[in-house]
Amino acid sequence: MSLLFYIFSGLMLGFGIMVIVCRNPLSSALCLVISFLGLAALFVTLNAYFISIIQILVYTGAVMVLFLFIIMLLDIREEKSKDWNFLAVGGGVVVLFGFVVQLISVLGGYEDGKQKMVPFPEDSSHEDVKMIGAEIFTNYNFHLQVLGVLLLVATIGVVVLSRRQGKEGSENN
Amino acid sequence: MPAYYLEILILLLGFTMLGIEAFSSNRSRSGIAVLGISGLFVVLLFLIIAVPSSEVPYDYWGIYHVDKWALFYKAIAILTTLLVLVLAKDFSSAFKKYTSQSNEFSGIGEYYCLPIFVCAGLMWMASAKDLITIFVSLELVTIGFYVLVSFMRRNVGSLEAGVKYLVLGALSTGFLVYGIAWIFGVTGHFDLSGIAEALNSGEIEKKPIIFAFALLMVGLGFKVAAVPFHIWVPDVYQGTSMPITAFLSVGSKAAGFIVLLRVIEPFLNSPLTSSSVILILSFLVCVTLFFGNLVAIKQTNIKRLLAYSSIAHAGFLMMALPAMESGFHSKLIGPSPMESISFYLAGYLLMTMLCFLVITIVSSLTDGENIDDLRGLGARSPLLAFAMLVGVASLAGIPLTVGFFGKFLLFNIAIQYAVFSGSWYIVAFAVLGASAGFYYYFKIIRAMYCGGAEQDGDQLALTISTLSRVVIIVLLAGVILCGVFPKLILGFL
Amino acid sequence: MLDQYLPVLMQLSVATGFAVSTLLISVLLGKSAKSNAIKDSAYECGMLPIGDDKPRFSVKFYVIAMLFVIFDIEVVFMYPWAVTFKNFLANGQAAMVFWSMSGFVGILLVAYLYALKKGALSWKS
Repeated sequence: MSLLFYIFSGLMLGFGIMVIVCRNPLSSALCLVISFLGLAALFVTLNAYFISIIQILVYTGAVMVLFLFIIMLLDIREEKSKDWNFLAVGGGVVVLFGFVVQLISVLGGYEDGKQKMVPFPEDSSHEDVKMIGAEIFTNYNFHLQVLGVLLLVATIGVVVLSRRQGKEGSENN
Repeated sequence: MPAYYLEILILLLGFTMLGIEAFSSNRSRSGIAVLGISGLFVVLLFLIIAVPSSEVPYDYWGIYHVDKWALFYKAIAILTTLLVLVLAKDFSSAFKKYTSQSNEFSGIGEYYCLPIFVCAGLMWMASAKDLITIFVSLELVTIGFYVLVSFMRRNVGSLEAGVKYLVLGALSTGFLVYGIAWIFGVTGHFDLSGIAEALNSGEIEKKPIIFAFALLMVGLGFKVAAVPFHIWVPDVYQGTSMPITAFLSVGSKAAGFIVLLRVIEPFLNSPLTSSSVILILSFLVCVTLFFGNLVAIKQTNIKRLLAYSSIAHAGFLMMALPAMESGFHSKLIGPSPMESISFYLAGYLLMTMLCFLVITIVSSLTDGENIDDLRGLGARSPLLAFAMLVGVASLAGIPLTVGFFGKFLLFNIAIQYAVFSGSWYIVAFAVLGASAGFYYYFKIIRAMYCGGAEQDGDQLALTISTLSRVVIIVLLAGVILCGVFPKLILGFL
Repeated sequence: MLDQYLPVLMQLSVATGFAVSTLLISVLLGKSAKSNAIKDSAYECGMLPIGDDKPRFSVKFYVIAMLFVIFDIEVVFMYPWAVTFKNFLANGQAAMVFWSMSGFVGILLVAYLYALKKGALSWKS
């Protein structure tokens, strides 16, 4: 049980770092796919099957394909320069370090946080799709409608920002 | 009429405008703008007769409520959007140049529609009572702005602004969601009243809740443009089109503040968190006042200047936040922090929109956005120059304008709070900021009246459309009248 | 519990192992050839190749993909709706849940009609 947790979280974090380190944008995108898969597996360990499947369908499937399209579209090349901007990297490391220290000190305040491994949910027989559905369409009905408007705005954005120029259809984007 | 219909009306207006844009064969899109302006005006009238009541239908229960504050901020949202549409209409000639040569594909119709949907989001934010509603409506607003900021896609500056806004906005959203998750994890509640109860129950620990609050402040600080989360502001304000700059600086800020006020209230009133929260807020206030005002001094681009001015105003507004602490409340003489902030935001709406209207008209003719481009405006167009003079004077806080009274109210609270808690350093930073403000706002006035008019520049006749003329005069009257009779706004509170 | 997914992990490792070992074996057993930039370049009747080896995609793919993501999200919400509808029918909440989904789909229908009318979905420009 905990072995699988370590495998999948290691997979997720390792490939997450690879996304940043890789110089070729295509490799970065594929590393992100594997990172998402690890995340989906972690959702399964929490008995959140629906979220896990959605994670794979929407993120690994749709969003990543979109990323790959953009990489193809813009014809992004492997970055030539290998030199690091030490100020930016150092700043990032400092912020990250501070955040992790903060997180450890906050989590250490809890009894559960001191344990090596939080117990996983025992009962995996519940139907999480039904539970999600029961919440969304009653208590979170209003939010669903707002989300609809949000998707409408996003559609307008897509159409407007990727509009072709004039009738000649010269793709001057 | 129940107040929750207002957003639905706004949405229906947006759908209609979008339908006309998609299906109409008429090439001219100014009809859409006129429809939007008049529709918003009608909804504003409805808002006045709408009754603030807590009775909302079953599905809205617990997440949405309408009190006088919500109505006030809804009115600000509608009024801002209305003025943005007026600006957009004036800006349309300059706009076409940056989107497409052919009229048909300019996208100006969508440019009029999107603010309507953003307005609905701003109005939902004003009524939000739980963190999920806040998050969803905030995202609606933010995604609308992502599109609007990068709308002029043939302009590199606009695209750069769009990318910066997108990346930093996504980052701040991440912090916000993480903070919300932490708050839910610690308190077990999404709704603010539940959070307040949990905070006072004495069962939760301090460290995690302060951590969660700090994460929330990162997300919200981004929306209200508080230092150090302001880095996007100057570039985005400069890069994007003028009406959207105005929309960002007024609409986004006002809605951000109502959310901020509602979110920090339970934290300030709980003995568990209040001292740390006050410390965080005081720090943000001081750096925002200091940085916003001092960096504004050396700006030459007028949009950049107004961006730093917007940061500085966020600092002045936040000055009243620590004073919402419950122990201080009964000792305060004069309007409460909530009233003062709301008054200031209403005044900020009037004066900022006045300035942007003038700048939009001038820059769409002369195509320049530097302070020097206003040179000789006093001779070229006395009305515009006078409007700008009043707007800028109000931003600086000169007596007889609404800006002065707003600053007066906020300083009143800050000084009384300093007496109460000894936090005089906030007052010191505010005085420093306000006096720096006089200097950089005066630069604009000097350019308009004292600068020698360049011969080629002032040949251009400044034509002002009737609509803009009316709006300028109304705003001008508003800034002066509300400055002389502050009851005009305070009466609503 | 998660132990039941052990077969999945095993299958995963077998699949990866097969791919990796095949590649390794071909490298180990195959003859190593000398290669250089000129040998690796494409041979085109003696002409030196100019330009890109990667094909560039049309912006149309991007528009379709973006719209796909948006409507994908819509379907994500329809799935729990379909699964729970029977329960709601039994509870007598069916009308509310029906209108809830109708509202959501109705708003997205506006988006769809808009995109359709604007020609975002048509392949010919």
